[in-house]
Amino acid sequence: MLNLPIDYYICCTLSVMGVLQIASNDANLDKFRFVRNQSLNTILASSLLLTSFTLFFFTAERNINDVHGGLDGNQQMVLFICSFVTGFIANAVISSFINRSTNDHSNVDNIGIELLRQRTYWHIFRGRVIHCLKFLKTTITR
Amino acid sequence: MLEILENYDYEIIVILQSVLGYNSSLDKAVTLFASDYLIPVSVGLLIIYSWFGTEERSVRLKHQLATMTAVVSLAMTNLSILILNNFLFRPRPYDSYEVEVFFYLPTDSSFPANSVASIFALTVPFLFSRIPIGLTLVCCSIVLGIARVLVGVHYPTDILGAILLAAAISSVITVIFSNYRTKLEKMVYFAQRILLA
Repeated sequence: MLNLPIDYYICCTLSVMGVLQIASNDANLDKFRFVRNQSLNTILASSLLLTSFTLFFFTAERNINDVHGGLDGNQQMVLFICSFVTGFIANAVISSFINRSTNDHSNVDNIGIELLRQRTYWHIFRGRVIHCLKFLKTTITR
Repeated sequence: MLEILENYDYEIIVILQSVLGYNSSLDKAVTLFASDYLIPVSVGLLIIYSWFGTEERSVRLKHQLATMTAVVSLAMTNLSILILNNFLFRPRPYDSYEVEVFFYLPTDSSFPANSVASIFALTVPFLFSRIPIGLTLVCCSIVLGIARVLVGVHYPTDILGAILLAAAISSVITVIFSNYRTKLEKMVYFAQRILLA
């Protein structure tokens, strides 16, 4: 593959996406899933995890001291957080695109990620931005 | 006393390493488990899962509080090790004895085992709130610890010391955080507002 930090980042991002899909299944976050069928989504998520681990560990030598090009604990942590952010955004974008026509517009008492049971991430985000803009507009014009 | 302990340490390494060197697949598997990436990344993914992967709101909140406590415990344990290593340096087993090494040669202090301490620091809060994840983390710590001894980069007492240190710090953090539950809940509610919890 490329080099250790980039490989680590890419493989962690794929793994994070897989884990988020498994978590979406278990938490019933329907609009955060890539595939509506729960079993198929689990298979997809497991494949993502397996692929990322295989790509990372079996394509190059990974036991490298951090003074010779390996990653120390702090570097690993920073890259893992970056991978989480990337993986989360990728999940939000992909699931919003796939589930774009299936939003449920009924009023719900869900909060936080539970909203993803009825609406896609993009739909909720757009709604909140519009709400903020309207609030700003009325505040300024008063 | 310390010398006797170190001799016992060495003998345990020799006994454990007697299984290596015969089967290349086993050697590779042990090296993989001892690596800086496999178990630490798996544990990171487990923490992400514990944050998001529960259906019921109240249960999820409990898990999220445990996750926050675990992350702070991890940070405090690493800080303690950083401070401790300024006063205490223990050479690696291969520096003092004729130990076969199946890994790269680390240059930092052997005591305590940083990676094992980091993972065990995450364990305690989950043992109080989500036992399956807590037990999985205990298993991960033990597997990583044994693998590190097998590949010849740690003494068994490094692993034991790391576990005791992490357990002590993590328990203190868990007790302190249990007194600030309301404030932690407010942080989770903020994360809920931005769809992160």
